[in-house]
Amino acid sequence: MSRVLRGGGKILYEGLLVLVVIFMVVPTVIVVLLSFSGDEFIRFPPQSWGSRQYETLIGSDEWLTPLWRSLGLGVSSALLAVIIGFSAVMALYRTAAPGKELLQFLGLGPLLAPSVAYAVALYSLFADLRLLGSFFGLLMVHITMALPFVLLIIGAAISRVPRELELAALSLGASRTRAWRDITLRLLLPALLASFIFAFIGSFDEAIVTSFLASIGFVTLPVEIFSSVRFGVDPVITAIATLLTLATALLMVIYGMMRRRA
Amino acid sequence: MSHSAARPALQLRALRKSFGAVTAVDGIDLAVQQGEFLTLLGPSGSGKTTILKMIAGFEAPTSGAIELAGRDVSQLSPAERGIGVVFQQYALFPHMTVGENIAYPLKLRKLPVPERTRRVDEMLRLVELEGYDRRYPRELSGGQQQRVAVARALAFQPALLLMDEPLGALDRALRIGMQEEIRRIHRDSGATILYVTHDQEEALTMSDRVAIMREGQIRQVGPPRELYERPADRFVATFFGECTLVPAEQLGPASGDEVRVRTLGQEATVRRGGELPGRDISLAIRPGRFRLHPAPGDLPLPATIVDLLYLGDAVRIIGHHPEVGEILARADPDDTRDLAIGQAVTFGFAPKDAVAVGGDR
Repeated sequence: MSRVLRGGGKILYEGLLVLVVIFMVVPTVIVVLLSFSGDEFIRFPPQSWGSRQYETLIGSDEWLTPLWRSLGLGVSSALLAVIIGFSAVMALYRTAAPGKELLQFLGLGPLLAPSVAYAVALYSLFADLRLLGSFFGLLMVHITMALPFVLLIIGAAISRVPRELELAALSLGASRTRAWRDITLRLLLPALLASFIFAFIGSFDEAIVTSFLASIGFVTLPVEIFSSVRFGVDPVITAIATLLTLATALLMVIYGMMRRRA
Repeated sequence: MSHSAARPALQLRALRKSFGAVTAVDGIDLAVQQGEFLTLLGPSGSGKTTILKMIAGFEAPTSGAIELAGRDVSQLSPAERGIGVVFQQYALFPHMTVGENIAYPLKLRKLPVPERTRRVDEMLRLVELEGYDRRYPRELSGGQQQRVAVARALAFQPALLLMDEPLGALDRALRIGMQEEIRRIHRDSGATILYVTHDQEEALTMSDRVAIMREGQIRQVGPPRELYERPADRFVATFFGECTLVPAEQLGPASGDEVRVRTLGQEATVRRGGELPGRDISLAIRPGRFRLHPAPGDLPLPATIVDLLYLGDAVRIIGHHPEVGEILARADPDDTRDLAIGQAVTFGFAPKDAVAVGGDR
């Protein structure tokens, strides 16, 4: 992004930058600082410093169980969403399958429905199917919610891979499978990893729909944080928040490095 | 080029391709000899690219046979045919270096690494890109990328190289340089090349033989000179190089190569280019064959000058005659000093320089 901005545009740009820093970065920095507080409850600035919050976190099943649940749900739903989404993209962009437009529209559907409306609708369905609070139910919902991102990311990538590349590989002596693997799959690898990261973060971060469907039973980390905040704030949350910020930032850095290489 | 004894490198027999009710390729018979450079030339939609796709194995023919050195390959996969293909948009693999691109067909054939390296170097020398093997395609110019594509397609020594408008994506100056480059690569490698283009100048300058296509059929095949000097019909005459078509009437059946015609109020004996199905025919005359001062025995063609274009080593004269329509002539700049737009002149042409042609335009 080395665009030359002049006059009003520059003032607007710098103004926005200041606002982003105030509203997004400053709270994050405060939370990170608070996580190194040695106090028993949240207070800014902290009266004492230490790794007390992290020690509490490591020693408490109350927090570690939802953390592992969220990681498991995130990884498995992202993996399945990428497999399903990738297959769908191959069908949508590389075959003459009938009803492609409808399939594409339906795949993007979850983007259009507001989370709360979607959650209410799912709640009654899940109640009937006895899926409330189950891992399997949440898995399906998280896959569905990740699919639009997967379809958009991989779809955008495949439309930048000319079909001639695979034909060229065939003419050079590759079998269909080999040509697909060496060329199309290889060129889509960065997009597959990127869509996995987005799907994982989406699932790991999802609180609204999940709290409708699993506020008891399979309670994930964001849902646990939500309900703990309702009964007063446990300072351990600052340590969890710091770790989540770090993990997300790390994933985005990996994504950025991949984009540069691709 | 001595290719009379050997089997043709490629033989197409009654090749057809229909897409639903549309016939894209309508019964093609064509032989390409070993080491020959043959061009399929035709307007877009004439079926030339479809023929190439069928030979490469990307499309299945509706009927007919494709033989490589006498062996029918029409049921084989593209990989089993072993034909090199160069695409208009190069189709280099962006995630591989130049060296890896060229080595890809060799890797698929499980050639040992030292042999691969040797062959890649040899190919880079052939296309004059030595030292570029570590670069990525995106770091090269369009012309360099196309040379890499040629090197990759020739690396496994295919029996036949197909080139689908390979210069179409390049700008004009680069195209002319690449024409010479491809000619040289053809000479140095001895490859048999089937080339597709819609650019008649490209076909004229590069090919050993040209096949002119229209609506899925071949209208005429021959060396460029033969096509230019003896076009088979009106379409070939106007599509392959410029010409003026002077209306004429056929005065009886042709005897051998010659036919008696009446044109511009006179009778004359001229050569014919191909079959003349009706009485209503045309005389095709190339721009350089008109004389500004008719010589004895010339057929005179009075005209009004519509435009004069100075081209440096020649002047292009566009004339008009009520019956003939537009006349395209070419003259030496020294002979045109006195000419002006709107002036009446009389062009002359020798009957031996006119070719009688029929058929549609």
